[in-house]
Amino acid sequence: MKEKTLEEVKIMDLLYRTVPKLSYKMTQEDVLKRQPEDLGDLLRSFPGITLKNYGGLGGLKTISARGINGSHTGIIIDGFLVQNAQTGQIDLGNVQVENSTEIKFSYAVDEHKLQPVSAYFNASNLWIETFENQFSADTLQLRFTSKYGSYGQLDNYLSAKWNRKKAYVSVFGRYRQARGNFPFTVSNFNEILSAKRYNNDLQEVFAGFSLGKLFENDSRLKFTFSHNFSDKGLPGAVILYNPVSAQRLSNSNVTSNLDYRFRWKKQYGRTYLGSRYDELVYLDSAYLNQQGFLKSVYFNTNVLGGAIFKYSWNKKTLIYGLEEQYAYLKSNSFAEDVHRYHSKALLQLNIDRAFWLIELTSGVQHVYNTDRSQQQVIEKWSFNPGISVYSKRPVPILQLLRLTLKRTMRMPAFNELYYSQVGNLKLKPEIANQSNFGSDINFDIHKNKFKISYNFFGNYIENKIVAIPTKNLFVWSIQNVGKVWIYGADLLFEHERRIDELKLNTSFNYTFQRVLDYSDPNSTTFKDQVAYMPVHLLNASFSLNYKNAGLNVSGNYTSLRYALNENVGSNEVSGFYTCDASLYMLRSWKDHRFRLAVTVKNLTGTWYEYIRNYVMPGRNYLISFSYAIH
Amino acid sequence: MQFIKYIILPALTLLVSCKKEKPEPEIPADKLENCFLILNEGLFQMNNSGLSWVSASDLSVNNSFFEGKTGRKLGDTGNDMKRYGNKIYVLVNVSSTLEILDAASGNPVKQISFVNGNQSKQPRAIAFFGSKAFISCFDGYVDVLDTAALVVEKRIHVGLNPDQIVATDSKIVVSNSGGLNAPVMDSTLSVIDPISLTEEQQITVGKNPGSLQLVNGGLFVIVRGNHGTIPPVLKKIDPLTFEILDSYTFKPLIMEKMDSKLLIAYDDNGTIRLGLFNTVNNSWQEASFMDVSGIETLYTIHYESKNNRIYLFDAHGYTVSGEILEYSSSGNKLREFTVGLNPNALLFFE
Repeated sequence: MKEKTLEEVKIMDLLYRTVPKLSYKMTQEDVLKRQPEDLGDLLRSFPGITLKNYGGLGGLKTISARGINGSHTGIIIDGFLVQNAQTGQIDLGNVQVENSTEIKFSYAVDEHKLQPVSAYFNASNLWIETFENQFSADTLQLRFTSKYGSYGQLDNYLSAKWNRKKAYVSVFGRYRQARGNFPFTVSNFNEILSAKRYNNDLQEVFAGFSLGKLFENDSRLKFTFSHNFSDKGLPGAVILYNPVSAQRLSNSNVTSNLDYRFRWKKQYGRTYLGSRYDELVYLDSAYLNQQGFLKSVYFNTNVLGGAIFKYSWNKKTLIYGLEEQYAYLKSNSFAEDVHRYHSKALLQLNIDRAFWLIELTSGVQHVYNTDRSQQQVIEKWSFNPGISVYSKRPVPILQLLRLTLKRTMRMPAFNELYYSQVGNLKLKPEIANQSNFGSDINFDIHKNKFKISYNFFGNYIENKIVAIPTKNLFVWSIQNVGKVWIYGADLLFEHERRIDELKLNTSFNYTFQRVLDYSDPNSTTFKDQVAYMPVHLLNASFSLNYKNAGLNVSGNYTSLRYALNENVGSNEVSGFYTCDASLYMLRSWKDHRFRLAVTVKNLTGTWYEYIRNYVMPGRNYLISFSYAIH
Repeated sequence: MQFIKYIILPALTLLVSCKKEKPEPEIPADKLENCFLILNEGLFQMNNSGLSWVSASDLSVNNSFFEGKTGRKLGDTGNDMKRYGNKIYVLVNVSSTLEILDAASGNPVKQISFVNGNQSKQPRAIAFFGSKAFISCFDGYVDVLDTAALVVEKRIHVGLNPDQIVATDSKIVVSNSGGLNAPVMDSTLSVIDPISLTEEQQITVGKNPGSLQLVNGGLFVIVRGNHGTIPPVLKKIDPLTFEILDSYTFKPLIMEKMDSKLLIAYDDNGTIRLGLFNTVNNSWQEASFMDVSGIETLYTIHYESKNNRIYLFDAHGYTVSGEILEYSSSGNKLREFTVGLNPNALLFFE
């Protein structure tokens, strides 16, 4: 009989599901059904998520969650925060999803998994667990995916993991390329401009390995190393009458993470150390300076280490931890090298009663920012409290309840402080004050499973960091000019029905959000909807699975936005809807599994844009083949 | 799908608030008279430059004048607009186009592309001499346009990132800003002979020269410095010998010719003031000629000799609709009207 090892956290997960923490999840199967280009493409289906996509294949992708920009969202892969102190945000177009076993977007932290201390200081977190970094009972596991699609898309992923005696070794790699020369149409008042996207190619290589070991005393050690290199064209905005585009971006990053978890008497603990080194090269070969080109090179080092502990007694749990992050940036666009030391201390008390779970969080941050000569020192302290209350048993009518109040801070990124003529050393950190009240209702009717989840939220952003143009409209400056009030609601509906070998899944979510500029009562933008924040977001998906075949259809609607904060007709960016459909077939033979899928993206061929003048592809196709052992 | 398209989406659209905007007046079909034409620069990479037509009688505004006349948009970042003879010339920098309109009706005459293979020329400013138009292009050239044939007949190589341009009695002078080569910017003016169409000489005036005005026999240039340790200064140059005659250190920002004087906005220890500079005795006639404290973002100044009015352009932080304020020549405010984003040029039609 094969010995199977179940991780303690998974069992706790099962029990913990009755606590209605606000999170949205996708499994590996969900990811396979949707065939997303990247993480950004996947996240737009979650409630409250506004995607900013600068042009499809390979284009920059960032998100806002309930009107709070993506700098407040932590991206945590296998328990490690992905860091970038230079920009403050991660380009979601560069995050792999092929190897994910679970993707979860959450406004709360699951303390059973001993997540990094940073997670408690973010307004929200995106958690990704990968295939390569999990223990398993199977001796050999293999994953292979090959995709071929429109506009020269080619995407190959291979991962192999050997498991033996409570240890594993895995190797993985991915190669992706695309020409990206999709046709597009834009309106030029009464005329229609039709052209092909140019300088939109992409090449990306990703490879690495990871090791893991379980010890007799329930402790475990994991190590991961990976390298990612990408080179892509930056087509930029579509400029009327001028098709010239000569900008390119290449990025090489090396990541290594070491993680040790242990148990000592009644305490669970975790120590972790991660590093990431980025080399980013921006090139504009049509720049009109004396050299005839502009080449900006950035060397960005981030190191993060910490320890977090959990101690439970008498239906109370104390979580405490410390974390230190060091970031260093050197660039020919900055006058001097810059350093940052960012310390975080966490204390959380969970009171677990029969009916209620109460989480009281207290966090303190200290940031010390300096340039090499220590001429410009920025030092900030921040206190970040939070309280959450969850019902563990259904309340009449409202079922499982949740209430959260939280205050988080995000430090300005290096670019916002130091970049060339743009940076502003006087920037204050951006503060996000969040509140949420919601409920989950789960019920079954005649073998139909239903889940309804709704939330009402209100957020207030202080010292919002905004890029505004100067007298020289090619050079923008970064200012704390914003106060933003956000209120809204979201509704999630899920249905599942099984009839013998037929399985039906339906999911629908709707978000209403008012994201209002409250910066200056004398301004014409006072109480206007902030730029690129849609008031309405709709997502729907339907999947039908019969024996070894299935159909998945998903659709998204984003309502009208404004390109600038002034809500006038000339700033309108049209609302749009898109629809993707995927047909797939599965075959199994012993431990081997095969999957073939044909996907049509943007089924209706809608011409649309997330950001004005950054056009998106029309109807396009993808064929994917997947093979797995165990 | 039809249900979504025709029922759900329109219903949701109704729930989105939008400011109630006044209906725009119809643009004149065939005659530009008793009106203003405003060039709105828009914002970089937003394709939202435009022309506003404004009635001089009741100040009603139509912000889609160009679209109404041509059926298409003006493009990205309109930088200059001038009238010469029976034509209006509009330079659109990032779109790299020159739009030529009929000055009597506003109807389109021609669009000239300033894209040179895989390189945008980025036209900035225009000046005229005889039958030629001289267009400064950020790629380091001044293009010469025949205003009859409407073709570019020559490119004259000048300094780095030529910016503003002016015609004197016998020469064309262009300021080579070198702005895209910061922090090592250009410091010269190029002098072009408009007959031989060649650059005759370069004069060193100081880092990052910009605005040029020919007033009362003197050529004035704002030398902008490096926006940091080197402050802006105003210099006076002899337009015949190109000798630097004088230098004034009151941190000038914008200047506009008003008869034999200069209206100059300058930075007075963090406060923006608008003074009247006497070019005869080369001193302030009034250092605080007009009160501009109520103007959020003074973007440019225009003096209209036809109606003897001063116009101040307020860009309101560069991301919302701009405003133009009309004053008498003695500095008394008369009227104001709202136009498009970042207005930067005005033409008046009697």
